[in-house]
Amino acid sequence: MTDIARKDTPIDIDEGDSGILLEDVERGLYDFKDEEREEDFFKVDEGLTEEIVREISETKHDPEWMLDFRLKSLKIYNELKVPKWGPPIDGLDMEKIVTYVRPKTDMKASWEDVPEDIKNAFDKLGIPQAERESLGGVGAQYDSELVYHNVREDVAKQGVIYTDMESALTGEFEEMVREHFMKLVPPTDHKFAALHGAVWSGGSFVYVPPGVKVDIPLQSYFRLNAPGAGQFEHTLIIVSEGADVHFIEGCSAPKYNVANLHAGCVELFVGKNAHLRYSTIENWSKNMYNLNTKRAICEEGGTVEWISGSFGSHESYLYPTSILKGDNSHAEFTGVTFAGKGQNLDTGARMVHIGKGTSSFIDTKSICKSGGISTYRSSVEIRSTAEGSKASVNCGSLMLDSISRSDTVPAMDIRTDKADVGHEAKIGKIDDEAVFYLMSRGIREADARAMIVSGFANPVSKELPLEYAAEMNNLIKLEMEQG
Amino acid sequence: MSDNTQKKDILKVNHLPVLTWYRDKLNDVEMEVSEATIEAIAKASHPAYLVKPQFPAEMKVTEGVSPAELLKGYEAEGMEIKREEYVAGKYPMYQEQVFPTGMGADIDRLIVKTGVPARVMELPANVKIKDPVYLHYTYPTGAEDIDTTLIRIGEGSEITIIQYMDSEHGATNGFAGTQTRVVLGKNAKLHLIKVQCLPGKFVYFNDMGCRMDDSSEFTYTELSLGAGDSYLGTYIDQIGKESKFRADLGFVSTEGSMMDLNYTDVFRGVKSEGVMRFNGVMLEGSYKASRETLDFRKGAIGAVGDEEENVLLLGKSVVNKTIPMILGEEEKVNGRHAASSGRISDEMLFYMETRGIDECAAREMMIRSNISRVSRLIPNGEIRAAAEAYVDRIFSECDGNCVTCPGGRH
Repeated sequence: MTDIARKDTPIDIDEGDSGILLEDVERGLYDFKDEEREEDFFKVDEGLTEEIVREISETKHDPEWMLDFRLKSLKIYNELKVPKWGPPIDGLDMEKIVTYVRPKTDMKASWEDVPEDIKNAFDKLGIPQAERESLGGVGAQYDSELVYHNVREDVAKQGVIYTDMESALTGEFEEMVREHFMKLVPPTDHKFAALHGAVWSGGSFVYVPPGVKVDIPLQSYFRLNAPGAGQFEHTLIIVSEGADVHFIEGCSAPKYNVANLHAGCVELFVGKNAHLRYSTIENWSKNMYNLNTKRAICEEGGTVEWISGSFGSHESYLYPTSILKGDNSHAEFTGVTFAGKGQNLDTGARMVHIGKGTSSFIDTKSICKSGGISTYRSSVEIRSTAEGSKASVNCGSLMLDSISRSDTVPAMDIRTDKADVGHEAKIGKIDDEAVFYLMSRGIREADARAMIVSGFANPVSKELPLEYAAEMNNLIKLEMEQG
Repeated sequence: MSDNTQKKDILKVNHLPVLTWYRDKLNDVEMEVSEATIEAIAKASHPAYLVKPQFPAEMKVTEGVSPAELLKGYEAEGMEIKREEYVAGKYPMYQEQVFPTGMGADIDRLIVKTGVPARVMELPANVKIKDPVYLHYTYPTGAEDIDTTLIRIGEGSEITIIQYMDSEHGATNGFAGTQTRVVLGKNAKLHLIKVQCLPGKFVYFNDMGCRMDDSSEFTYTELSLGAGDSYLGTYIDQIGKESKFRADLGFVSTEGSMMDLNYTDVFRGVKSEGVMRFNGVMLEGSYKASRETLDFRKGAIGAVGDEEENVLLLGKSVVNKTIPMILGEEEKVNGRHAASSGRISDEMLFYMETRGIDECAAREMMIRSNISRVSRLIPNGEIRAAAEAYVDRIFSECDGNCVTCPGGRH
């Protein structure tokens, strides 16, 4: 094989008066940008050097072991090569990425105390409103640091810890962080995991004590506002034996004509008979390289459920991995990916069955339109120890025109005869008869097509809380109306 | 034959049409060929082990064609135009060969290096041959051979060709490879059958490529029952409109054996249709990796592709890897693939036992039925019987241990 035809497409931006004019005016909900005054922010130089890593570490008051960890990760980053199997990322120049941008404000526990410009940004995204109405706790990250964090009193009373990573690292949970931090996703995993290990900043720490069931979801929202910046938040969730929690993350950024980078990391530890649902609506702007790593490990009888909607980014590499270590543990991944103009989204999931009687289920939908490239990539691995395991993979692709591209690349590796694995995939177009039927009922063709696409994505939206399902359907509608 | 002290050529074959995670080890596979084997093949007279083939009078058969000349000929025929399409194609596909085969360019290089002359079989237009053409290769112990064939079926012609590979009595080890390229004219029909019943210490490869013109039909039946290491690659280029391809592969992987396969069906023509079926049985300690791709290119409006793999696993330490892919750059197509891998269900075994069939016999019956899905497509009764006898041998060699039952003896 060769990568002769493997060229990154330029970030598709219409130049305006300012040079950073939005292409997609309709995306205003996410694409608004507030002017950032230099004096309100602290940022490190562009690029990635040992000095920059030391500066980030010092700024964040890291313990010594974390500085060592960062420096080791940097060394690994410099040694590892960019993989050739995924979307090309030659448009990403690390020398031009600012790895740390921090608003000059402390994290606030009261929304009213958050600086006005940042508060406006989150107000426009409806974050405080969502907190009031349906969330047990909210974290809001702006560029590299959390600017707001709050947990409902009743949730805190249950012993649930939901705080920012820095507070956990430098406070009473340091040992717990040290025990779990990048143990599931070691810096050696791939180049961008190493990058994350070197420059990570922000993110959330959640600890749910044994037997505690959190009835209302916790949420983190990540906003990357600075052009040419990277966001490297780390999310660490520990769900103890018999506990149950739903965590939601949302991400967005305004669109610039320079590359932005997101290389976050999510590590989920699901205890014996515990249950964790992790939902993501990703709507990064279309100049974003989204090279994110998410991984969960389940102990005996534990369950992890991933709900994932991928709509944004210029290019994405995203494959949440579930390691079913304990006997009878279970994982599900339900995802929808919508690749529009100028997007190359490589998404999917990995399941690793180790324990006996483990089970996994993958159900994904890919949609591509207006020249977008959507690749579904997955791997189901049944180790020889995983006797009595079951796995099922179901992936569907919908192409909305012939200038787009849709690939499914699912791998299976089965090493015991005492397992049942099934896989099914389909690719096709919107059924003309279905469009005709809807039009005969007085529905406009464009609405009919949007309706059919929303129905295609229904397995994901029905798993989300109502307000997020509505957001996802709006995004689909928005994508359908563009191009 | 090669051993660890000998110089070897490492061939990279069976490339996945798009790359995926390195850790899955499915992007390609390395095939070792010792310098001694290459030398032995180069020195042998060819065809070395083909037993008195009988060709129909209407068929023109030319032996001794230079492999390098054959490859140049494909370029002269303008096939490189298609190569440009590949290079310019969307990320990340790239096909190095002018006339692609499933195993890829390294097999061409091996053949050119050994200088093995090719056989060209040409059937002119509008000729329908009723009786199958039978190519029977019988290998002795230590045989080292590659056989290369180009088959051209003229417009409107029809024929069935059977390639059957077995060994002399008592043979144990050897190296046998076949490369077959097929060019089907408009409305031409070919049923190509390959049956491999080689002993367990043979290394075997089968490299296939086919180009299909308008309304042509290609039925490909492959039964791979023996050999320790086997590499199977098939690349079908459905260039013409309304062309139809159907592949059925049946295999049995015995203890210690390794099978690596790569089937790709490329849809280019309007309303082209492709069906691929893989049915296999894996016994204790066997390894199999399969790449199965439906590749819909722009312009293949109305194309339909359907691919399915069913593998019975009968042993704890089996390794069964599969990557069934659908690649799409055309909106108006329908593609489906399905794969299932697992044991014989307890419900089925229980049902059989209630009918007085013991577990061992029930398992054997299930295995045989899995293979017979493919063997029954062989029109030649003798070869079908020989294939079934080979499966019998697998069971009879179990020496009191039940190879069909995980864990051994009942």
